[in-house]
Amino acid sequence: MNYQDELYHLAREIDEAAAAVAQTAQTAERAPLEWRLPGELGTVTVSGAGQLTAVTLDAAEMRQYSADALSRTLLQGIQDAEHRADRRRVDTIAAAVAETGLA
Amino acid sequence: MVFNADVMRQQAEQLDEELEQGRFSGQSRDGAVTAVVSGRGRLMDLKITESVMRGAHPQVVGPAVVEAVAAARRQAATVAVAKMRAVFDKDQVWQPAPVPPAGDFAVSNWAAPAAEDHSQPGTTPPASPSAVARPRREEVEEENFEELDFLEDDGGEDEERGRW
Repeated sequence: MNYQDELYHLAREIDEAAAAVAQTAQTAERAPLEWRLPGELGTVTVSGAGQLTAVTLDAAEMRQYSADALSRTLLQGIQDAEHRADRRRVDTIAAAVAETGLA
Repeated sequence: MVFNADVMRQQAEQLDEELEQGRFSGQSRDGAVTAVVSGRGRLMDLKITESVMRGAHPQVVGPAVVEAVAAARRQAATVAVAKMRAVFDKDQVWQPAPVPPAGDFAVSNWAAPAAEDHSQPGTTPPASPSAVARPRREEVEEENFEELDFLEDDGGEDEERGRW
């Protein structure tokens, strides 16, 4: 195999590895994450990219909260869910990069 | 124009810090929930009105929270994109915004007036409160061939050949 062929195959390997990582990243971004709020209050759903998509609350459980308390609980829940989703995405991509040998 | 990567990197870091300090608020359509995010879209505060909690259907708070957060992030993105263009678009010059006065973060933010300007119908939003647009390139400059890379791969032809 001459030098040009070697270089060509190396470039193809890199292309394939990069495509595999991109695919993994896309899959991770599409996978939603559901975060349970304290007690039976409800759930916060964020996209795999860490963006808030839904908040579902139990009306009966909400009666135990003041507006301020619910605001604080939801703020913390959304921050935690988004952080967790973002962390999961980063870890997934890092694992894919390590697996393909691009790192 | 000379491309200076160090200057651009420094400006990008300053902008990043500036965006993190900025605060943008958004409300749900019914006004029941107000969210505050940083210029980078990080959720910083959430306020739910007491009246919606005591209403017949308090569970509507859930969708209202999503609306408010999305509205605040749209505001933040509008300003952030304009400011990033000012840094990375070489037809404009970016300068750091003045340091905002200390106080209630949701009210005293530097970006809110600019964000409000964008919502006015029939007006063209400025690229950035601190961006200064230069005269159009074609008015003052001819094409500089020193900036062109004639060997740069445009991708199209080589793909058809199957390999390079």
